Amino acid sequence: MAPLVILGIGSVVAGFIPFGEFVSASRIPLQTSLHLQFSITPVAVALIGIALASWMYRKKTDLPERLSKTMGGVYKAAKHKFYIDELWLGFTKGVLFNLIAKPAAWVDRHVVDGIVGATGSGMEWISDRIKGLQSGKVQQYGLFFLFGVIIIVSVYFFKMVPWR
Amino acid sequence: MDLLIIILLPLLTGLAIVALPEKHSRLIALVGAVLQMAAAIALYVAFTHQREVGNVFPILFEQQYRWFPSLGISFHMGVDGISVAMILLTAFVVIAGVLVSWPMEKMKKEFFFFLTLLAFGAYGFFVSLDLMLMFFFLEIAVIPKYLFISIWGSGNKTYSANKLALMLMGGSALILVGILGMYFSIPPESRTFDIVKLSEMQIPFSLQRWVFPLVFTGFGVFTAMFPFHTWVPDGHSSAPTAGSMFLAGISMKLGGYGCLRAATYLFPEGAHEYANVIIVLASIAIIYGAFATMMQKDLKYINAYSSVSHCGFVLLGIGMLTKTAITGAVFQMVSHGLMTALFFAIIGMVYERTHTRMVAEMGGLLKVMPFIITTLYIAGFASLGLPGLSGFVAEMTVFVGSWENQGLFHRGATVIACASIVVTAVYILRAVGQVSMGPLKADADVPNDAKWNEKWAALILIAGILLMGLAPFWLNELVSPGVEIIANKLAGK
Repeated sequence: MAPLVILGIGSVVAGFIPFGEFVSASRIPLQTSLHLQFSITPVAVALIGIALASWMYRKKTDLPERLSKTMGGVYKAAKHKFYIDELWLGFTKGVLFNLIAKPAAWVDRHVVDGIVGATGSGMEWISDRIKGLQSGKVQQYGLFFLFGVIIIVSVYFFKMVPWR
Repeated sequence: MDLLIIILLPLLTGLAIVALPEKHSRLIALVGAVLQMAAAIALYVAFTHQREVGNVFPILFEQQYRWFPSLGISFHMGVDGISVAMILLTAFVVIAGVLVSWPMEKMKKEFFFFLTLLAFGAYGFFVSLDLMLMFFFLEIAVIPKYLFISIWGSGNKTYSANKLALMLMGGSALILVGILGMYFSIPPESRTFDIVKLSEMQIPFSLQRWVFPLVFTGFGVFTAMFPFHTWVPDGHSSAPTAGSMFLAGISMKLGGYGCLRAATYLFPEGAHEYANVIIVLASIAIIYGAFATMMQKDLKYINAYSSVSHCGFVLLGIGMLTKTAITGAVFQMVSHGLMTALFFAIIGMVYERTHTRMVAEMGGLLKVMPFIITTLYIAGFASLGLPGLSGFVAEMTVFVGSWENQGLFHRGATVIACASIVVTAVYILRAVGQVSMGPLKADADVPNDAKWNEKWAALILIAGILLMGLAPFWLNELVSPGVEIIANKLAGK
């Protein structure tokens, strides 16, 4: 009870504190004006609500139950806060988790990381294939050297040098 | 202030660890870390004093020693505000890392030596004003990471260590090709690796066009740039606690700092040419990293993937090329360094007590380890950008700076980055809530809370997070002049 009283007093008094002066650099509050048509409606709605609730619940009657039966779906929806929580949860689980996060995590593990892994395996495969080139046989090295010279010379002669 | 102190302190600490008996290793490491922190604070004080007395020279405390004059390489050191911020971050993470590793028993001497070697590499990198010197220190910081994971790691550690080392070495190779290419493409009489001299040169656009992507991508690998980020989850999750703290807290910042100092600053026209590519890759990393984090079940993987997302903000800030966005990128480096180190420290503490890192196997831990779990909340809140903590300041500055750019492309990327905050909130609150609330699930047979060393480690990092979150102006004043010089270079001034 005490916290509610404190909060109640606070809400009554807070409006009289000139907060506008504290939030502007020049200490001049922003210009505001009271629009009665906008103020009267919410206050009236709140007062009507309080009055209705007092009428219905101050004494235990079967009125609330009867009303809830009469209103049917509207009452149920209001009771479940118009299913906003369920909608949000459904969106988080169904869309964010299942449709976006799950595929993102899968792509990262199997595609992006898969390419990294495949690069490593590819290198291993190539190394395995070309390791025989380092045979230690001078004749074989000489042959490679000769092929290299032929390729370079033919490229030069046929003016296939790409940077020219 | 003599910058040699900054790099000699960790080196001497490392040598003392090697020379003295193993039973003193952790104490020497702690004393060294405290001295490094004192030196970093002294550097900050000296730097701000110089600025207050009107010293507007962009680089302060410059020192240059002959190293390899025939190749134009010198031991050139100096700091601007960005380097000082990074040095302060390193000091915070080093001291926390040593404290967290206090109970380390396996090969204690080697462990603390490599920890100190990592710090040496990081400090050296941040004070370097020569590209080759920078590269040298970058490599020094890579080798201990491999050993950390392969010796003191857990899980699939050999695979993770190999993957991390190979990918980071691949990044280093790109950097080396880039800087050597630049070196040999400029006239022989003006060939140099000196950052100050290079920044004064008019490097032709045709050269910048191909050197920038090599250097930026090379450093980008270190800072988990999409799609070169896959070393991060495996590396972080297999590393020991202090190793993960270092990897995410400092190592990834070496990349961000390199992208800024070596790539963007020296090759501004190249940066303009590739800015849109950087923005696209950074936006993908931010949102895709965040969504991939949502599906992780292991706390270390959660933090590792979220690091991919958070480091995306660093790259986004750089790619946006505005002064505010680049300031935000620097803020994000500091903020992420602190909060991710805290996160990994806490995960280590939880694992030590529950023997699991799987979120589903935990619950109700707030009851049995209130200090540790409260700290986990603070790290989580900093990660999701709660005002009052460092993450908010950093991300907000990146957003504001990004929005300064007109046009649908830049604004769209900013909106995507902003949207990631919601996703971050989902995975952080879900994981933290599951670990801390509900009935006690995990095998917390010895339900003890943090020990003195763990409390100090956490408090030091929390102090950094709060210092930045509540009073960001000091960091802004520190880094702004340095960022302005980069922004001016980008604006062609």
